[in-house]
Amino acid sequence: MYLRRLLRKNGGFGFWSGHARIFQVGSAIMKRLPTTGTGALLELLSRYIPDDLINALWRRPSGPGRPVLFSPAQLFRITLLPLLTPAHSFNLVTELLPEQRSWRSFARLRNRHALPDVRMLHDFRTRLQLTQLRRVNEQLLEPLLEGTSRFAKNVAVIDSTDLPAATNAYKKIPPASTVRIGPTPVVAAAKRDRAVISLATKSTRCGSGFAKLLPAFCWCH
Amino acid sequence: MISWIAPANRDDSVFLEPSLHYCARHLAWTPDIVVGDMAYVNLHAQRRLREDLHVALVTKLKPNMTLPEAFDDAHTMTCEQGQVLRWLGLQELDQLHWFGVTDPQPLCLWCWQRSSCPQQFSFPPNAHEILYGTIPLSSSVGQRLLRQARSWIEATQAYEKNQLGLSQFFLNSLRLTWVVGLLADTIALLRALAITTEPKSATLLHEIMPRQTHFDFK
Repeated sequence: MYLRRLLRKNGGFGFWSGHARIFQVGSAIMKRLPTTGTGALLELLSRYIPDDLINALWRRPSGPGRPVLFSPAQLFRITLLPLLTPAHSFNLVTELLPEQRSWRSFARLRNRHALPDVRMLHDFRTRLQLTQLRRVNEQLLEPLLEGTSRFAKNVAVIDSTDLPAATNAYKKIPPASTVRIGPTPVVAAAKRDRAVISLATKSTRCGSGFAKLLPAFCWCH
Repeated sequence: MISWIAPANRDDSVFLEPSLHYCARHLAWTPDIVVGDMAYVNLHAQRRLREDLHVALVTKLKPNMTLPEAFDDAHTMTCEQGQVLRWLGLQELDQLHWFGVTDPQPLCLWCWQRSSCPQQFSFPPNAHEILYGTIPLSSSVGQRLLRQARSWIEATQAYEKNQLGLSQFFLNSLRLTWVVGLLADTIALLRALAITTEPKSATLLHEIMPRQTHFDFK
C-alpha cells in the first residue's frame, strides 16, 4: 500500500556543545537510560514532569457542571503514554491502562477501577494549546540552557523529517529542478519543429465559411 | 529544542529564521553555530543571521552554485599559481577572513611571483555566505561540523519516529500532529534532564578494566 507522506515535523534543534564532549556524553547516555517503553524509564522520567505548571496551565475554573475527577497533570501524563509505551494509540492506552500497573503509577492513578475514558482524554487534548505546550517545554529547557553557558561555542543542528498523515489536504510539491533554467537543445529543437508544422497548417486555405446563396433556395423568395 | 509542524508542501528554509528568533525572544539564547543541510541554503537569510543575530550557518554547497575564482572546488582554495591556502581565522574588527600558506613544503619556494606575493589573502564574509560566511566551508572546523555534528540529527529523528512511534500514529489533522510533535519534544527534554541530572552509575569493574598506559618521555 502506498503511504503518502504529507505532514512534516520540522525542526529538531538539538543542543551540542564542544565537539569532543558531545560524543563522549552521547555514548554514555544511551547506555545509562532504560529502554524506551519499559517501566523503569517511566519511573525515571516521572519525577521531572512539572505537575504544578501543568495544573496551573490547564486548571478549569470551579463551578456548576460535571465534577473534575482527574487533575490536568494526571491527564497530561496519560497523554504522554502513547509515546512512551509500545501502544502508539490513545484509545489503546485507555484499553490497556487497567492491566498496566507501571503505566498507572506513572499517571498517578491510584485506583484501577477509576480511570479516565476515551472521551475525557479527547476533551483534554482539545484543550491543549500549542503555546501552553511550548511553555511546558521551555520550563524543561531552562536548566539545560543554563548548562550550556560553560561551553565556548554552542552548536545547534536543524533538520526536517516526513511523517505519514491520513489526509489528502497537503500534497508534497516535488523540488523544482535547479540544474538548467533554459530549455535543453533537444527540447528547443523539438519545439522549433512543432512550430514549423504549425505554420504549415495555418497556411492551408480554409474551406469553410458562407458562400453566396442562390436566390431559388432562399426562404424570403 | 524548537519544533515546527508544517504541511509537506512548505519549503524547509523558511523555518530557520523563525526558529532562531524564537530562541532569542523566548529563551534569551541563540546558538553560535547552526549546522544545516542543503535544504536550508538561503544566502540572504544567512547574511541576516550573521549580521543581526551573530549566528553562523554551516551548510554544504549546492552542486549548481557558481564558485568564486579563488576556489578550485568547494573544499580547496588556491592562489593564482595553484598553492593550497588554509583558513587562518576571521578578524572580527575588520570582518575579514584570512587565508594563508601553511604547507611545510609549499610551491612558493619555486614561484616566480614570490618576491611580490604577500602569501596571505583576505576575503570579506559576505563575498560568499557559504564559502566564507562566519566559518568557511573549506576550513577544517566547517568540514568537521558537517561530517561529525550533522550525523547526530539522524539518530535523533530515528528515535522520535521509531522508538516514540511518531511514524505509527494515526495523524489525521495538522493540529493533532502539532500536539503529538510537541509531546515528543517534551519526552526528549525529560530524557535530557534525566541524563544530565541523574548521578552516574559507576561501573563495578572500573578499577580492574584495562586502560591505555601513558609514557612521560620528558
